[in-house]
Amino acid sequence: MSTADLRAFVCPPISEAVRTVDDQATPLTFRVNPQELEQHRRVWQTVIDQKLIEWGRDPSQLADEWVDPPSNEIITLAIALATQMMIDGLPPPTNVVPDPNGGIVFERCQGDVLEVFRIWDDGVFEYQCFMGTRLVERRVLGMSIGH
Amino acid sequence: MINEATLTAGDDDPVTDDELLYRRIPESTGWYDPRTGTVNPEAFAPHKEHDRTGLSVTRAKYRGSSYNEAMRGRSGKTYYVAVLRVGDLRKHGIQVIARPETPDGFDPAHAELPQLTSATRKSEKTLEQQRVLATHLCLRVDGPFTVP
Repeated sequence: MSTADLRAFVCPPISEAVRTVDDQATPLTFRVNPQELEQHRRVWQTVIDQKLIEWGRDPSQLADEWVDPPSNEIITLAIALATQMMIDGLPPPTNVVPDPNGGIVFERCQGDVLEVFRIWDDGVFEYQCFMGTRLVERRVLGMSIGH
Repeated sequence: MINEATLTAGDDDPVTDDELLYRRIPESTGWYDPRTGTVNPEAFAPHKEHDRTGLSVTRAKYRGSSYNEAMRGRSGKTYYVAVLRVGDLRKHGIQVIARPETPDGFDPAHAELPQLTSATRKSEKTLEQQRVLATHLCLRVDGPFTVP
């Protein structure tokens, strides 16, 4: 999947809300100073280490009645994508949770706007943007190798 | 404590607007954050195999308490229990029906949200209804309760 696809992880309403006269070319995602970038990197690394890798190490912690833990392939994909987004300097998610079918959901909430980067259990990953409870944008960004 | 064995729900026992519903949430999933009191929409996501006819919920009047609901979970696991009111769901266009016949036998407490199914789990409407359930319709979340 291309870096350009991952950089689509910013909803237009968010970028429009803070667009400035002197810098309209740079997407909001990249208008951060080095300190913020470092903070973003630390949060991403925490997500990777304390959630994704931990889930991969012991999937049984998530298993429950009608809750299937993510497979090793989905965990590997999630780690790869999270790592790429960290390298690209994207702001980290505000929450990362499994879905009940073995998928993984990254969420970033800003006011009434919620951006979701979702990996379904079948390896398809997509971007979703909600305004309140309304799904206003949805894009399939790719499929993992083997699906 | 209510003796569940003496309770019955036949075809003439429709789910009424004033009833409360329970939805069990495993603590390990992170679908409920006790620090902020927020419920994640994934707590209402249909399972790809088990929710073929609708998302399973429990009729509170047949369970007695949210603690009783939690105790039906797996041994050693910890659960929260989200509480919702049927009338609130119906006001938001979310259907609720009684479904006492289950693969595991007759359970008068079993009900379903028939629009949220395994087949529709990726649809826009289901994703939005999950969000409505989680962010607007949970009256409260009880727990945590650990099953011995």
